[in-house]
Amino acid sequence: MIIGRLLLDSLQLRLGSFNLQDVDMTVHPGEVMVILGPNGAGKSVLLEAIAGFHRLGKGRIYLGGQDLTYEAAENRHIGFVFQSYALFPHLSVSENIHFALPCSLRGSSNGLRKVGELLERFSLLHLSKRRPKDLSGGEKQRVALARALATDPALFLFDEPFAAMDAPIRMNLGEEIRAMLKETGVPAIFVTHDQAEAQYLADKLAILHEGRLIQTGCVSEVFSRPANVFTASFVGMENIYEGVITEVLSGGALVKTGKHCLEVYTAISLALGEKVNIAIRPEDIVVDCTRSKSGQKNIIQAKIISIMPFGPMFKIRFEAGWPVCAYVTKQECVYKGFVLGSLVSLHFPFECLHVIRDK
Amino acid sequence: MKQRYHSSSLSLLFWLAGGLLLAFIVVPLFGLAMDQTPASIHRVLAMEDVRQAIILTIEAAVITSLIAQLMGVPLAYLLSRSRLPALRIVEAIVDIPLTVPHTVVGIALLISFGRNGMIGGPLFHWAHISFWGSFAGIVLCMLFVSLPYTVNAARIGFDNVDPRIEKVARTLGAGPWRIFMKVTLPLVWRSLATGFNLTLARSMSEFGSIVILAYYPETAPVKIYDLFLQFGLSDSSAMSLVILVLTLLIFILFRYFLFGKKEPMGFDR
Repeated sequence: MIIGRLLLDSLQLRLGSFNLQDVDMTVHPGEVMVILGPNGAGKSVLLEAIAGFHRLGKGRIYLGGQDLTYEAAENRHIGFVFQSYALFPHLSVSENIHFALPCSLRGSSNGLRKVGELLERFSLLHLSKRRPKDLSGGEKQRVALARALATDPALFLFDEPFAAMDAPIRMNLGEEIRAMLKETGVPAIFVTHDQAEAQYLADKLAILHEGRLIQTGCVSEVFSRPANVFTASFVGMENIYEGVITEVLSGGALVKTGKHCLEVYTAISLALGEKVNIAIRPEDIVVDCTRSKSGQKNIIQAKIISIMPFGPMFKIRFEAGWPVCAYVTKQECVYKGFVLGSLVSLHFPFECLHVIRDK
Repeated sequence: MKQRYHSSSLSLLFWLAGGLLLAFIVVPLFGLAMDQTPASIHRVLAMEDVRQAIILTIEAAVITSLIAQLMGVPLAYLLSRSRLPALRIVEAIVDIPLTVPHTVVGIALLISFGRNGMIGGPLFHWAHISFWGSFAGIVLCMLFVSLPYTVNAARIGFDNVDPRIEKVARTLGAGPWRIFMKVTLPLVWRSLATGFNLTLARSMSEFGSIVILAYYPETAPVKIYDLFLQFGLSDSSAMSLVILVLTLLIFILFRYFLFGKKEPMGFDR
């Protein structure tokens, strides 16, 4: 199978009351595209449409230059890895892999050799006679990958394969999949609703919401420059404030939001009086205990109203005219003596403030 | 520590109700068994027509169960997989035999499949197949009343197959036939076998419709009724016990082979 790029050309699909609308996407060989979206956004439907389980209303699917739009699912050469891997429970590990061989290889010595090679490549030789129920999560994943590879897929689709897994092993499993994809050079789409998972898996990220692709780009771009308020809040920009441009500066503007005025810099040109949203990630806010002199740019006074443990950090909420949320390391919290009711100053660095046009 | 279920008055009451129910099932059957002597059993088993009735019943029930599988499993698969709203009506139709009195079934079958019936007439005329007083008639009655057990058991089996397993098989290059034969069927065989067993048991016990469409050749339940009318309780109860033991034996052996070494299938967790 020749490895080429996947091209989705304005896919449209209606499924009951759900609509997939004008999905355009390109995934190059060796690239991992992660589709991130909340539950019900249509992520799985999109994957299943690419795999050929749903009839498209409009649009085309090209893979390696071939038009797959009307091809039956069984002829598409797409490796689909489902949640919990969907291994055949009544077949052994080697039988699971053997099932995926093309008709011409099944039962032949060449076919058996291929199964053997795949078992060896994924360190499954000692498990070849086992049934899926006797395998660990990681072993199941390796069987699922080996089985999918037996068809020489031109594209890999992953539908939340780790959703039923314990958190500590997810990252290892993700790294294993990434390594396999990079080695084979097969383009891949990964679907998840977990932004942490998206960050370590993705080369490119696409945000899907209510059946529409809202933003596609590299991971850092989507996380730091979300295209709209939905994406911003979905990728963890917890501080989003509505404001009005009160003064246009060169390459930026002054934005009045509530009783505060923030100075922002952005590539988009803004007009006086325009309504915008200002967003900043909680980890980008600098929290200091010293009271600032009034009038300093982008520094505002705030009072701590809650401190919650959040993994290795503390998540602190402030009242500053509007609610603010920031992450502070535990060490910093103790060192600077932050307690409930502490008065602090919050610094919003220019480079971390992101302007989102109000639509 | 394990929860002690008998501690509340509610569970005590429930156990009492459940116990009464079990006693209600077991006591009459136990009484039937206690009422017999080895000599009475021996006497009925020595009767040629009794033995023939038993063999005929088993034969007809096995054939019925096989036909039921052939006809019922495809329908069960359609009911499980298709989302057509019209299939909800089909579901209701499948369950009709469970609700209709069996004498009514007999009369309805007689009207359609009798020698002058709209189906039975042409079949008799062109193929010399008669359902009136024949082995085919017995099978017809058994099939009508026991089909729902085959369809419903298979349906439960198909419903329990994770749809992702069939989907992944397609992405691995398997067409619909290969998926059905190599993936779906192996995952549901226990459900199919359960359906076969229930259908077999239900067929063997059918009386009401058979007595109307095909009194002769006599099946075991009809023969018991015949013995009761001709010779009273002693002979009929002895044969009843023989049939009871036979049915239970088939049922228990089947369950043992099916679930003896229990291994849940269908879902891979």
